[in-house]
Amino acid sequence: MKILIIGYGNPSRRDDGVGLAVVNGLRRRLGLPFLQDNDDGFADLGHDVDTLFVQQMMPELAETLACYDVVYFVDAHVGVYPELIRRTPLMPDPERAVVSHHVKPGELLDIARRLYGRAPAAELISIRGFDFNFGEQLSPSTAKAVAQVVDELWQRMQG
Amino acid sequence: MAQKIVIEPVTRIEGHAKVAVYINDSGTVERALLQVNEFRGFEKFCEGRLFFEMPQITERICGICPVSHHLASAKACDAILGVEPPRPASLLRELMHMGQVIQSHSMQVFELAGPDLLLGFDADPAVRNVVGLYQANPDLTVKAISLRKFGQEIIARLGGRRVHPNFAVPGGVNSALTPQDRDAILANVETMMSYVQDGIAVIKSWMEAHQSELEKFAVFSSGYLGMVSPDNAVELYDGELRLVDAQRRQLERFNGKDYLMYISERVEPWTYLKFPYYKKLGWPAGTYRVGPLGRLNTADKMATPLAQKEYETFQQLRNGQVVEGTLYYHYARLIEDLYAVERTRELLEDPDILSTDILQTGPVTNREGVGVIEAPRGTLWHHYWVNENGQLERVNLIVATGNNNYAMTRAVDSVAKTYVDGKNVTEGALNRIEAAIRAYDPCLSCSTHAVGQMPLEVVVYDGHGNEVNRISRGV
Repeated sequence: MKILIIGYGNPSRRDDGVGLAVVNGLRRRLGLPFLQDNDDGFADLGHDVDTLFVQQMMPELAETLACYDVVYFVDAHVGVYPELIRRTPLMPDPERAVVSHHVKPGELLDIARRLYGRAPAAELISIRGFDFNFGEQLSPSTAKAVAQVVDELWQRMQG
Repeated sequence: MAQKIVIEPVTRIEGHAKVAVYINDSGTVERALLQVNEFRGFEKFCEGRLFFEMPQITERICGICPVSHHLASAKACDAILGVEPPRPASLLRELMHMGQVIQSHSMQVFELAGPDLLLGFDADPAVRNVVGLYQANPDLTVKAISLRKFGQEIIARLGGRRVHPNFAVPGGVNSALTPQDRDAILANVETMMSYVQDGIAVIKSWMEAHQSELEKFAVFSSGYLGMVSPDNAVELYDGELRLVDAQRRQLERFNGKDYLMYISERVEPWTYLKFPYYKKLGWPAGTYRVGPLGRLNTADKMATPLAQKEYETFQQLRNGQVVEGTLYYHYARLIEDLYAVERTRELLEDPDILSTDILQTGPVTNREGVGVIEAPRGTLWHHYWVNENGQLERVNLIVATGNNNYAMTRAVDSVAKTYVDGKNVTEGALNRIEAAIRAYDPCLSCSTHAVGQMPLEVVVYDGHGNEVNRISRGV
């Protein structure tokens, strides 16, 4: 089974970088080098478990998604959900994002299904962010949630 | 009783804007305005930063054309150092710029304007989107996405990231191109060229079928501004600026660093977006258009063979006169897209492209520096004033979308008067107003340096400001 974890957000705005923190947490367990500032992970695809970090979703990512069986999207939420960690199963969704320059995960799955013949099973993992000021360090609560998500994903991969 | 119709926010552009349409008592449009109601103030909060940080800071203005800001900023920083980057560095910067032009133009034509053009202005808004587009023409949509991916790949191979790369620095670039990366990009050039040509064929076919719409949709005279090579070919990375009038007569040809001698900015109280214009002709006679149509009307030719062949067809549209129809922006955009792919190949085949002579450093030599580039949407200026330590004292950014501000307002006004019946406001008419704005591919995030949400809401007010009707989608 091929698995892809996509973290997304802005790592220069503290907790908005949770996606990168989860991706690098998993890469540590996988024995892979961390993704650095200038590396989104595309050059390192091809393992059974792959990781990417992007600032925003763009349509061309759909072609990549179609190569996987399972995809986890990891992003920050700003408190719109009561849970510290919200797990949302995703289905292909044709609804267009209102902002023109990025697409939503569900829309990406829809593009993958329609144009590339396959949409993976997918889940969105939203981790509560508390501090979105300038900086690269996660707030303590978010950092704790990141560790929990890394554990959880790691266990799922082992299963 | 007079009515006011508001389209807010306008969809499938980047940023937040609204359109106000004023209807008189007899139900006809009196006036329409594009209002940009967001403000971020990048120019102000950059004051105090060190100038060499600016290529990284200002690219954050935008997620779709960060490379334009990145490079214009680097050019302004070159000027502060008083150095000329080594030729290989300039080639590499231009290569990254071509990547951005390809991804930006391809996205605009196919994914943003494509639904209007290929599904129809009057199509159900529920399907008049990129999903509807790939239901109608999956092959073309896959090609469009491939083109975007190709452009993003060029940016990433040079600057590490597809969005907000880290590459250009004052005096050059921070890494050389490897033979592997050169070959990987080159391997796809022919295919991408054929994809753009397929897109051009689709647009031309659409143009043939929609001649009457093209001839009445926001057609108006204006000046045009764009960068040109010494022999007046369209230039996107470096060259002089040429300003022509509505009869294509050259008004000025100048070094972009001297823009303050030629360009002023007007402020109107009803919008945050300023209105640049040509000083000598004054306001509003001195307003001009930029971007793909502006550049093709300003220049005499394209510098690559396939784009030149297409340019000759473009020129025949009005027997060598300027092409004024706003919808022709899309055709012009694809001609430039073709140029950018051809130019990518030229750059990659240049013997200097793999050179490691990529940086010329020096101390702060000049207290101010100007960088100019043709962003996908038009001419972009970065102008910095620094103290003796290189700390920014003042910043001025004139962004492509700002240059087109007056033109967009005129386009909105024209389309509203042509298509909107105040007694029966249709979704198709409102979409045409949005399409008039979209043709300019505005980036309001760039021009006001802010981001916004873009559901669409149309509110009809009577002359007393009372709401009498509301049409919403995506809210």
